[in-house]
Amino acid sequence: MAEHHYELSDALRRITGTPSPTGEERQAALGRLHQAINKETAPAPRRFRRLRPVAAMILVALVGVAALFTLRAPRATATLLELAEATRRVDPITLAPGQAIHTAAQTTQLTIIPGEEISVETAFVAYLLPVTRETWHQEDGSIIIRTTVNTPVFFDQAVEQAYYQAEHDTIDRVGESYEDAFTGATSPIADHHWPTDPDSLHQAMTTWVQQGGSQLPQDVQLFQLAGSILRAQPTTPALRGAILEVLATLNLTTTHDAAAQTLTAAITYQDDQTTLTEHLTFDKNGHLISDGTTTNTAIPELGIPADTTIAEGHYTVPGQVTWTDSRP
Amino acid sequence: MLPDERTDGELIRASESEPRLFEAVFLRHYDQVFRYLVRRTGRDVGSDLASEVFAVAFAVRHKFWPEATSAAPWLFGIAANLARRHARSAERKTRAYLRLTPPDSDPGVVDGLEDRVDAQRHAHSLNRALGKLRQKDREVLLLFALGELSYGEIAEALGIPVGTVRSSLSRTRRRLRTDLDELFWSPEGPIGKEGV
Repeated sequence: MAEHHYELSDALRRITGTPSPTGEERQAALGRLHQAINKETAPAPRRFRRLRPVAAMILVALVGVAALFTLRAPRATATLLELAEATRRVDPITLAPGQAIHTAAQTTQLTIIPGEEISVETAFVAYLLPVTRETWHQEDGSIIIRTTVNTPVFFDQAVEQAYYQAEHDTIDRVGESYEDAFTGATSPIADHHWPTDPDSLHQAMTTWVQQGGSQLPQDVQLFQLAGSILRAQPTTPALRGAILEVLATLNLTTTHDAAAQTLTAAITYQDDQTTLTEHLTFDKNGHLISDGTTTNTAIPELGIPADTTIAEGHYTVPGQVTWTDSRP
Repeated sequence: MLPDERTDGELIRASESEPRLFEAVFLRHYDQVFRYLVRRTGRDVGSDLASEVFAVAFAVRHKFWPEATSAAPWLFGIAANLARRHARSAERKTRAYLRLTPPDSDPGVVDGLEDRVDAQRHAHSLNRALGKLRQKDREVLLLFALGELSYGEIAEALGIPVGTVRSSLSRTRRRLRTDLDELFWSPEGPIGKEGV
C-alpha cells in the first residue's frame, strides 16, 4: 500500500491539477522581468543603484558644534592615519560558544520604482524607506537579521497618495518585522577575504571596483566600497585600520569632532547632472557609526530638492552578547 | 539559437554584469514555479506571484551562491515566501470568502481550494487538516506535493537539513492519517477508491 504522505500529495495534485502558463501569462511575466532588467541598465536610474544598499548612509550636519576641525589632504591623510593606528590597538572581539556579535542599524534608503507600479505618469518615482535592522553573528558562523520596515517618507504628496492607493506598502512590507537566517556570508562583499595589509587591501579594493563597470572616479568608488565593507559584517581592528589607511590615500576631507570623539571623512563628486556628498563617520576605535549621502543639487525628475539627505544610517558599535539572553 | 549550457549558478553570476542573462533562468524555471503557485493560490494570484518571483530573484541575485548548479530551490524559497505573504494579506481582505470555511481552518493554506473541490465538506476537511500542521511542516508538504521538489531541493529552499524534510513528511503523514481517512477512503470523497 502506498505511503500516506504520497497519497496526500497525490490528492493535493489531483485536486489542484497540473496548470501550465498560457503564452500570454508567460509573456507578461517575462515582460515584468525585462522591466526590472531595463531599470537596472537604464542610464537615468543607474546612478542610484549604489544608493540602495542594505545599510545606507547619512550626511552629518554638525555645523556649529564646538571643536570641529575640517581638514583637507594632506592633513586629512594624517588624521585618518592616526585613527588607523589607534584602531589597530583595539582588542578584537572573541566569541565563546553561545555568544554572538550584535549590531543595530537605523537606516533610510532611497527607493526608486517605475511610476506605473503605482499608476503615476512619471517614469520613476522616489521615496525614502526607513528600516531598522538588528544582526546577530553567532560563534558558529550563522547569522540572524531582523528587519523592521518603517513608514516611508515622500517628497511629493501625490506620489504618497498613489503609493498607498496601489497598496505598495504591502510590497515594501511597511510595518512588518521579519527575520532572515544565513550561514556564512550575507553578500559577496561580506564573503570576500579582504586583506588587512593596507597595500594589499588597496589593491584588492581597486581590483574589485575595476570589475564593477561604474563610471564614477576611482576615489569615489573606493570610498563607497570602504563603506560597504564596514557595513557588510563585523570587522576586526586590523581590517578597520587597513580601511582607514586606504581612505587616507583618497582625495577627501575630514572633520574631527573632539567632543564626540568622532572623525568624519567626506567626498564630493559630480554624477551626471547631480552633485553628491557622501560621508563616513568613525568613533575613536575606527567603528563606523554613521554614514550618509546628500544631493547638493536637485533631481527634478524624481522630485528631490537640493540639499536632501537621500540615504543615511546610524550604527551601534558591535557588542558581544549571550545568544539566548539578547535575542527577543 | 542554441540553449545556454551554463549552470544556473554560472548564469546568475554572469548576470551581475550582464543582467539580460537572467532571462535564461526564467525560461528554465518559470513553468515549474508557475505550476506550484497556481496550485497553491489559484490562477490569477498564482500567475501574478510567479512573475513576481523572478522580479524579486533578479533583484537579489547577488545573494545566490554561484557554486549552486540549480536555482530551483532558491526560486521556490522565494515563491513560498510570496505565497505566505499573499495569504496573510488575502485573509485580511477576503472576510466574505472566509465565511465559507470553518472557523478553525486556514484558508490561506491552499487558496481557492474550495472552488476546486466538488464537495465542500471535503475541501473543509483537507483545509482543516492542513491548517492543523505547523507552518514549517505545511511548507514542506506543499513544496513536495504542489512544487514537486525532491527532499534535497526542499531542504535547500527552506534552509533546513534533508533529515528534517523526511521527518516532517513522516510527521505530517501520522498527523493527518486520522483526519483524512474519510477523505481518502470514502467512495464519496474526491479521491475515492482510486486513491487507495
